[in-house]
Amino acid sequence: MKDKIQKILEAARAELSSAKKADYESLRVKYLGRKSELNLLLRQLATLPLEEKIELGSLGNQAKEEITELLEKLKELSEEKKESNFDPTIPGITQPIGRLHPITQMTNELIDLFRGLGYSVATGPEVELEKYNFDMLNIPANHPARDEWDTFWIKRIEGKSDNTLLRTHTSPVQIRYMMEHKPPIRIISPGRTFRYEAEDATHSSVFYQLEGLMVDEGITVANLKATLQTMIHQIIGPDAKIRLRPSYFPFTEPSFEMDMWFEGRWLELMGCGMVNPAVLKNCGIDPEKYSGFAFGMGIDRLVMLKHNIRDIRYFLSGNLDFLEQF
Amino acid sequence: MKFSYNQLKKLLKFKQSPTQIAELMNLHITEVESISINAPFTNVVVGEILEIRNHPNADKLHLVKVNIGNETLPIVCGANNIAVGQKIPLALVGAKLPDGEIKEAVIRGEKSFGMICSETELGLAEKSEGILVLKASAIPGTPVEELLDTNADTVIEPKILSNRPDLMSYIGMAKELAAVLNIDFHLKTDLNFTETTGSANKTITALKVKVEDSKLCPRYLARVVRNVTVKPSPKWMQDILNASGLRPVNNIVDIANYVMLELGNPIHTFDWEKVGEREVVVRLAHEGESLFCLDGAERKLDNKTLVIADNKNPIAIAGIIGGEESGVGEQTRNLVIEVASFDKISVRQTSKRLGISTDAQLHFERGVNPLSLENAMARVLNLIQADSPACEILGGQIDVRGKLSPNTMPLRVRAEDINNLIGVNISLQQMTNILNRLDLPTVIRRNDLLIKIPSSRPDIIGMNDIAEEILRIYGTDQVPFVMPQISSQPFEMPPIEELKKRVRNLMERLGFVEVYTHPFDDLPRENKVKLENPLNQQWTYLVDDLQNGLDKLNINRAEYKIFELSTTFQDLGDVLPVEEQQLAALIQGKDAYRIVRGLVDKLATELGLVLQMEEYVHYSGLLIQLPNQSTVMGEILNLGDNKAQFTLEISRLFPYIAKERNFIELNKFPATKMDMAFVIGPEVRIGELQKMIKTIDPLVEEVELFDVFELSKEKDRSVAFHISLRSPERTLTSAEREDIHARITETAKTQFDAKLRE
Repeated sequence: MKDKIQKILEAARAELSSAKKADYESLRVKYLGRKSELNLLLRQLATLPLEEKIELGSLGNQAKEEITELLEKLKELSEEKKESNFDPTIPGITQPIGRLHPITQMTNELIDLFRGLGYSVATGPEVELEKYNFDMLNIPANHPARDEWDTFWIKRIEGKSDNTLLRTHTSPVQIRYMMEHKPPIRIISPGRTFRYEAEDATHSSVFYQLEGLMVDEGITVANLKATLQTMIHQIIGPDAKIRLRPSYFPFTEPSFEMDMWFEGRWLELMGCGMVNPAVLKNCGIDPEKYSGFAFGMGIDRLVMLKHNIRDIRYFLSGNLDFLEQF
Repeated sequence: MKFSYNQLKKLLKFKQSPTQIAELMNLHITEVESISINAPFTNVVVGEILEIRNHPNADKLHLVKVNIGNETLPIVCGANNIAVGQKIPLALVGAKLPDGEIKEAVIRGEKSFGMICSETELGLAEKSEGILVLKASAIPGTPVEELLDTNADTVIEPKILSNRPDLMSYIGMAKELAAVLNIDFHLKTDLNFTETTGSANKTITALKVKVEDSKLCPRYLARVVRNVTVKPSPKWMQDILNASGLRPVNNIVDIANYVMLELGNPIHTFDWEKVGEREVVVRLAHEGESLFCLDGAERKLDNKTLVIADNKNPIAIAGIIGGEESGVGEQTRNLVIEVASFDKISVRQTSKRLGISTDAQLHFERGVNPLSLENAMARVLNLIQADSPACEILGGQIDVRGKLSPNTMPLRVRAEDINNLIGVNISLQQMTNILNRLDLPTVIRRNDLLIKIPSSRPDIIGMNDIAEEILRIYGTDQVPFVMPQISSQPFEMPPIEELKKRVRNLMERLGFVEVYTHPFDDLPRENKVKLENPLNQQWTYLVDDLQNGLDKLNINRAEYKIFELSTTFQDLGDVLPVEEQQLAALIQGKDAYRIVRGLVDKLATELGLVLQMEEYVHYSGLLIQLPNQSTVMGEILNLGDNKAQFTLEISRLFPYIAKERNFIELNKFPATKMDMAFVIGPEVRIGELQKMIKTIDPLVEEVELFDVFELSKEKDRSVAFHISLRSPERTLTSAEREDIHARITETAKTQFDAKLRE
């Protein structure tokens, strides 16, 4: 009986090692089925004396286990035969993928970045009061500096005293925030902004800005430089270099343009500077005690740089061939 | 303003090249907007010959590799005097030479990216043998004109900052450059002239000047010069005018313009004969007056416009433009010279109102210092006398002045404050040195700086201004990178912004592409916000709805799903319009309407909203509201042609949107499923039928329409639902299932006249 078990096992080993997956079921029946040779043999054990029963029983179970294992392996073999007439070269059916606008994506990226640097997000209305967009930022009416911001004005309704306009930058958000909060202030204000100018490849009357503001005791130009460099490193890469050049904005003093070394040349990227004490004062913050820096950049411009886009008009075109690339 | 490099070099005697000067300006003074070269050629740089091989297909040609600093270019060249190691002038692709432009070329099968030039080819000599070999020390990549005497000039155009009118002159810019280069600079302008007609009263008898408003005209200087000869100005002057972007006219006009360029004072000259009654009156124009201007246009004047008039009529618009009639022409013999100062706001407003911008106006609107006028007048007379030695300068100067502010204002600044603002440690001595270089006379008082602010720098009023002056000369690149030490603060974002982000992400996951559109339209609906100065007639209002913008996008595809989440504007009477966030989506494709409908349901579930939808009477679509509220929360519209759209008023829904969802315990008991199909008439609303099934028993968990089609006759439809029944407490019995089935069948029959299909 021992030999018989051994024989069955050897036969199983031989056959199963070269068998095909499709034969699994028939082989399982042959070797482990109710009427298989092994099972029939083991059923005879009942008639044998106890000692033999134990010995042969364990032998039989070992054989069973081994065959089961071999069968499992067979089952796991990959399909060798094809389903008849199936053509795997048939082209696929594509599922549409949803996408966020590249400016939304960049805005989210910037918010996450500045969140990591300890900034909160502040927003404000797109139709603004002249005083928040200009006067309180130290840009009085009739100052030539106003020429830098060509403005869409809102038609004045009789009985309204204030002039309103489409904000030309998100700086009025800073004014509103400073009037309501005490330092330390650390905010970014992303949003849509407007400029009254004819549209072409590099100009859009509607564009997107992100400004940053930090006001606290002892804030320095060195802090501004480090903050901007950190930002550029994270967006463009750790090799990106920056420099500051003197400039003039009524709401910062000193004022700078920040350039970035990009593809072999210096590229103007944003305006920045130390918040003008007159602006702090306008918002009820003591300029003797506090200082701060502010910076502002075009989100669209960053996207254009990052992806080498040459025409700003794509952003508002609704052109899916364009939008689906991001 | 444009600056001639040659003229700056003449004033300062520096050694730096035009590109170096432009870069210093850029880094320490103001942004350089353009650099252009007035030369016989452009885009020719120093190249170094690295390798010479014979052209495989042409005996007389060579293949040369030329290093131009940042890259190496293959060039095909026919000259015989080339050798490895030579420095040569290489005209790059795009270079303009006297004989034309260089283009990328294939010469007998070999590519060539430029041309190695001879002196003739560069326009520097009539005849030349072979290519021009430059000195061995020339650096590859350098513009060739910096090495050769080409008579070329470089025009540097910096951005004139609106707070620095002093930089709108050669003297002003030279002073600034001298500070940057740390070289001594003393004004050497020749101000000498001789009054040829002795008596100091001579001018007064020849001309009367009356200033009616000394606030709008704080100071007015006038002189009379007789017997000038009007002719072309000398070439050196014309060169500077041309380089600076001004067109030479005649010696008198050119001298006036030249002095403006040199010193920053706009000057005007009148033909003395044309000034009625030899009387100059500075006054506001009268209503109805007009002036034929030097630019050839006639302008109507109003009573806010400051003019220079004679005894009767305006002869110039003060500080902006002169009149044609009184201008200096070929026939002019006797001159009135005006050097004045006008109120900057008045000049700016007038220029905006009349739509004229001139060089004079750009100076005046930034402020011309009344104390600077004498020098300018002296310089004009000096130049006129040098140009027309026979002319007669009448004795005495007319000087009408109001109250003038003092020349200098002392400012005391703590050096420590400056270092604290910048984040550096600059010594008192170094600060003083920089400020003195900038012509801001400074002395040290204990640990403070005591600075005399000249009247030419009204922009300097406080410590921050001084810090800027010091920093830009010291160099921003010297400032270290130091991250601010900040206390920890929780991140905050306006809740509506959080929600917008959540909705955008949901839409993205639902397969929509986000678009941005212009927020303008031309739909004159109620409460719209109107622009005062729209860019065009299609963009006269701010949008109060985003659907129109999506509709107008011309998307040429059979299937797409797009959305926009942005601001809508409505004027409800407050100072600022009401701005709300709206979500709008548009679908094109098979079953568009049903997909849109399903999406709204999905969004509602995700946002934890219970929406109520009501069929429109006049449109094919549904109005979306909240239960028991009348506010419009959105709509779903079938646009036909496999197109449908929806909007949701995100700002209005905001208070009702669940912030976090609670976990709902999973149901342990199996659902019982059954399918039911009905035949319904054309007037029956499937949505109502579905609602009936859904609400017939609390055990009904889900009702899903899985088939709908029109039966052939009388537009009856067959509708089929998957119905799923489930109890959280037990497995349902078949009796319960049959009971619900029977009730649905019965109610469908009585309420909808719907027949169950077996």
